[in-house]
Amino acid sequence: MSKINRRSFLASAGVVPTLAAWDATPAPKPEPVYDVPAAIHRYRKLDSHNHIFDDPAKVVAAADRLEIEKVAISVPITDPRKEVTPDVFRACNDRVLKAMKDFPGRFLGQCYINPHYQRDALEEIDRCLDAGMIGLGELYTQVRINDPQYFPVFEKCIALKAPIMCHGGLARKDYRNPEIPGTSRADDFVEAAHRYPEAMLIYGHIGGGGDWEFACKSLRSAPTVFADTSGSVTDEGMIDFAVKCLGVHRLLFATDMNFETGVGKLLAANLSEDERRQIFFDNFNEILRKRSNHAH
Amino acid sequence: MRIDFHTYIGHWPFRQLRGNTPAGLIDYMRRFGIDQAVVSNLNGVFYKNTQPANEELAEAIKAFPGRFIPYAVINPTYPDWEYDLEVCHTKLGMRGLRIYPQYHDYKLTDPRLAKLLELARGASLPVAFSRWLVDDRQHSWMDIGGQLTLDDLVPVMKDNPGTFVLLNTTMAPLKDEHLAALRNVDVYFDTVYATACLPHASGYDVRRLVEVFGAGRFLFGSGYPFRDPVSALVRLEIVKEFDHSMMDAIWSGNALRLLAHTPRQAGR
Repeated sequence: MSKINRRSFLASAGVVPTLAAWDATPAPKPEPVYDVPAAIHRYRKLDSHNHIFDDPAKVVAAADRLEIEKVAISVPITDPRKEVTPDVFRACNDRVLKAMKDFPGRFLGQCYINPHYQRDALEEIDRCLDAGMIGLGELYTQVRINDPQYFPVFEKCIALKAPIMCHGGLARKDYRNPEIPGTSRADDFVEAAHRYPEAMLIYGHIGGGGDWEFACKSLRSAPTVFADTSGSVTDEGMIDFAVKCLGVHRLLFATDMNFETGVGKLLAANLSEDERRQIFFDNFNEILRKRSNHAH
Repeated sequence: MRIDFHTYIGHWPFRQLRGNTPAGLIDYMRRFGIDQAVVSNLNGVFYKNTQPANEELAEAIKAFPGRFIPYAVINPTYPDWEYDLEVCHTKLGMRGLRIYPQYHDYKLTDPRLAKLLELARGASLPVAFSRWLVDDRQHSWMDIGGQLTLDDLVPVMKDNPGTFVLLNTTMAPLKDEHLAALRNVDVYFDTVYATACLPHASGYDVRRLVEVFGAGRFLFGSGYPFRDPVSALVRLEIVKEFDHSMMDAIWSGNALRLLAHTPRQAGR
């Protein structure tokens, strides 16, 4: 004859499994899989460096896919063999002004000049900013950013509170390309910023193909220089390193036509929600606010 | 299901990599919902004799059964590579090959490469070319660098029957003659440089190429841990033009079909 004890009684009453479950340590919930569309949607975005080399409508369509509210655009002459006369840079800026008119509220125009033509360049800055552009960009390889030819341009932009975004290139140790002597390296930005610390100077695209460790370490010593995160390079750790060298407040979200990776590299970085928000939106918006061009 | 066809373990001598171990990859896969990853060992790019890199890989992934699909690094200009290839295939469970002519110092016209492609075809092993490992513009002063272009690669694939995978392919410049030739080649493209936004110098319009080749040629790839893990996902997540079956094919269906042709020979 079987002996009835407390355990067998409870088991026959169907209670033991419940108690067993009560005793067990709850299994940890698996971490939810990263939700890419939700992450894209989570942040307001201002693209601080882009172009309309192609149809501006395509840029707007691409920005819509990534939920980018406004896109800073310019049309620089990137062929170093081409002479960039005042007629040439005025025509580039006319394209930007037309795009701003055709897509109201979507484009932030950046005025492109060649400082070699000083009087025309300064007049063009007035024309473009009076017409609603937000600053200068993408200043290209015609003249190095620390060249004295830029000094009057700096003086004017400081007075106008206008940001100056310039193509950063040749980011490799001890390297200059003799065929493009006007390319601005990170150390050229540092020199310019030390001379004009009041200027809002933006190093164009730390992911633009150069050695981003070289660029970020160089720029550390010029605390007034901002850097945009654009470019085709999406190296793992690049944004984290830029934050380590420059701080969150000096970084500006941008794509430079690399829309998916422009957003993806910031989503991948080890940042807090607030830090990501600053880079995607707030930092550039604060620059825009100085001339009341900010987004609301 | 998601299969990442382009990952690495191992070291890159010129920059610190994070997540470059099987455990690091598993962490990436867990966070981003990746079920399996095709992986090779970067150390094989730099070892003169690549076989220890393949042995390291086989040993390292043992702790994670079913999660990794190993690809061997073979240098067809180094002695006894045929034996290494056989060992990789029959004993180490390798399911394909990755080759690096730039770093292993041979031309794509080298007859020893033709021999490798012939043996790979006989063993039903796909051969993966990587157009580059790092952007030339940022290469170290100690790095050879160099890129493979479609002008280099297309004749090789055209003249040597087999199955190929192009990793890090920017498809630029993509000429009509390339398109015509690639239609007749059993070649797959990873999505590291795919874009559904603005095609530019370092990206290819995945919508256009799917129109040309069909969705059956594309494999989801991240390039992790070289490249950040989210950009690769964003590239596909924002493509609105593809239906579910096309997306399923790119996320995993094409990879599964490709892997079905190269059954695992060892370590069952």
